[in-house]
Amino acid sequence: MARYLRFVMAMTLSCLTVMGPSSVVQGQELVEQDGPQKLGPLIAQFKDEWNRTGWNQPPGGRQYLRALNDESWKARMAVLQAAAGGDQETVRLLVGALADDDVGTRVLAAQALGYTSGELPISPLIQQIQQDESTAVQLYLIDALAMQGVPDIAQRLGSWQPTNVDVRKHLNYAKERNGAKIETSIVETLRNFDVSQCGTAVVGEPAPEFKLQALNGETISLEDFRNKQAIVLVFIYGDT
Amino acid sequence: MRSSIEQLTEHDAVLLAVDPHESWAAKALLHEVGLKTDDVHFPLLLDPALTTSAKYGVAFQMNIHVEESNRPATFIIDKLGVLRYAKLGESFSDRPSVSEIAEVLTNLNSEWPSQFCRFYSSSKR
Repeated sequence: MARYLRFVMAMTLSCLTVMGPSSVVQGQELVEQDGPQKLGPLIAQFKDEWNRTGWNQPPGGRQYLRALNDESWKARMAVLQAAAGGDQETVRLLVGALADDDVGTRVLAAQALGYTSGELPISPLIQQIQQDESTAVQLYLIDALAMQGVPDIAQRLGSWQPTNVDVRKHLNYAKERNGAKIETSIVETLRNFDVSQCGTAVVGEPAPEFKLQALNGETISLEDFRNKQAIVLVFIYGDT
Repeated sequence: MRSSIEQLTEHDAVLLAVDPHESWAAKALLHEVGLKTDDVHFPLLLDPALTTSAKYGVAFQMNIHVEESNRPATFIIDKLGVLRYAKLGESFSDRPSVSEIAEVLTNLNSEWPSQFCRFYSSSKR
């Protein structure tokens, strides 16, 4: 027994000496790769995959619903996760991507800007809303500015009026939130998300955990119902 | 909708809806269709970080209202937290009927005691 324990101790120690320093180095590398360094390649990967699957085409030029075996949506989640809570360098990178010829890349960059923690260059973004031919870019940029607590977006847009009804609606949401910034907890949830968890709901296996705030302010999680009730979980797209 | 919720309660199940928007947009959308927050008789969960939508594999799969939104989908999770049914919609309105959901739930409930025993004995091990 004592010999066994010594063996375990020795193994543990050797593991520590082997694993310890290298895992610290790996940790540093991960930290260094966090944010902007990781974001550039992820945007490039997104662009490749969305082009390959035809999803960079404006709506109308493609199906409105993905094929069930099309997993390129995960590349979008990876970019949003990497951008969440990002600093000024992240903002700079995303603003740069707004100049891309590829519509899908511009839409993605606009969406990601909403989750960053750097300061947005307001005037250039307002200009982009006025000039971008893509209604999706307009919509997501309005959302991003609203999420970052920029008040009076409609006034800043001056005489520019959205031609698209949905862009008009999002301009109204922006008005409704009246300069309230996106909650830190939302940004943190996305920032801490492990993208390998994408698409892990498999019938017969434990359902992916969730803990979400309901519209009435109540927090509800999968755990709340364990051994109590079954759950019928319905995903809606915001148009009930 | 009300009566289908009552039907679920009879089956010892709860209905949870997940909307991928922040509360501002969700409230505005309800308002748009003439509803107030109190008119919603089931928890409307908000997933603005999109992480739950991503885990369940529905994020960014449908283009609607100029957005890359969630694919319409329905999942049934049993009392042990095991996913027992998944229906990923293949069009806007591709949803299982209430009777289809009720059937799944009936089957779950008839299995429930034996399943619980199995789980309990395996977790005690």
